Amino acid sequence: MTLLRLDGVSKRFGRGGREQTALRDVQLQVAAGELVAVWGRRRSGRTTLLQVAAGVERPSDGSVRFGGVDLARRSMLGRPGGLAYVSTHFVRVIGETVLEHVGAPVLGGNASTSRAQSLAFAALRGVGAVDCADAGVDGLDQAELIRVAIARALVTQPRLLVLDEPTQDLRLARDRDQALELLRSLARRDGIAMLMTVAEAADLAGADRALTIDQGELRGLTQPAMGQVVELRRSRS
Amino acid sequence: MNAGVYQRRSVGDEDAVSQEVVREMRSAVNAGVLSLVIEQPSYGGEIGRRFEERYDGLLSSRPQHIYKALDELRGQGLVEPIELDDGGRLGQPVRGYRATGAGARAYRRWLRSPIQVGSRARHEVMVRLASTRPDDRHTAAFLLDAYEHAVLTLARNHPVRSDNVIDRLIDEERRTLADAQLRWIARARDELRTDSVEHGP
Repeated sequence: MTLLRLDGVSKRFGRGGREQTALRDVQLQVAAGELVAVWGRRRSGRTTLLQVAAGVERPSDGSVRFGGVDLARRSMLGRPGGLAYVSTHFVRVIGETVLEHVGAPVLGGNASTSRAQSLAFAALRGVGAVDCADAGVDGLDQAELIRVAIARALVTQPRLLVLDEPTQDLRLARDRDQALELLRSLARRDGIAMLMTVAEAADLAGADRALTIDQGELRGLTQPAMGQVVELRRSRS
Repeated sequence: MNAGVYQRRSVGDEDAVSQEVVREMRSAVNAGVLSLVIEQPSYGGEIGRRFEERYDGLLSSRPQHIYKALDELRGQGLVEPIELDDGGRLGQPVRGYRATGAGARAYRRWLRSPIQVGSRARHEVMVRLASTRPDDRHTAAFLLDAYEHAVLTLARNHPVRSDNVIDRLIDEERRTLADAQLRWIARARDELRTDSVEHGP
């Protein structure tokens, strides 16, 4: 089932003679539970692709649909069953501990503090970072930071995670592999789709589909390779 | 979007087409010799010299391989003998070769035939790119797309092993190579775009 669908999406910034095209006629479909990785150089349009796909930026042309919902009409960012943008930026006024930061997105949805904490614990456990719950975000190393950022995105129980170079600050191959393994397991185990950009080919390993973006043009297999297999129902005898 | 190249045919179809073309051309050396003869009718020694320049580091340019390729291409009707001016050295015509119509068609089929994903894809792409005329940017773009598809597929399928430091180092070397390949492909597309602007489509 197609979860995210971009049709004929272009994005331009600026006006007149200073206009720059960041995305050109992009077609992209992401299926439920699929991990799609997009490799691109700096200024290739890779971050704009994610922002438009998440509904953070509106496309200049074309449409972006998530679960059939036109994101220009209704944001699905941070909604239960919607999509979540993974960011390693934590605003200090939100709270002191990791637990408070991870639970913060659901507090806006009228959840009680204890309910938010319970969901935050579950999300941290799901990414293997429950030991960080009482730590301050400033005290986390880069490997912990990305896990906590993913937990904060997961707390709203999204069906799609959008990640911009999730391993960029991880210096050791071991840490990078473990972060990628976490994303793969979230896709396989929990059926959460992922759309992520990567700056290194190493981060394409294990993706269901790998694409490239250059000068705003997305290349490669822009739709799932296989159609959804529908079980044949046995007729009653 | 150019994903269609890989989506129109099934993998099985691509393999069949690819194998058929490879059978017709018999070897990469034959294909290289044919492309040089198409570019400019030449005699054996000159073809050998041009072959060495063009395919240095990619294909063996031993004289016996060049002459064997010419014999096979002639036997298949892809090249035919002609008399060429020797450039005034002996003042006598020398026996050379030029491509037949069938040879020109076989060359075009070979250049655009599907490239199988695997460890040989880089070599196949580079030989074909070296055999592409400088003004044939469409074929160059096709080869870059095929190369990128092969690199992405290998990178995606590469297993992630975190078991021990040696495995990680070996994986890292392969991944670094894939990164360099993707960057080269992106730069090559930049070059083609610039060339297209400067010299027309």
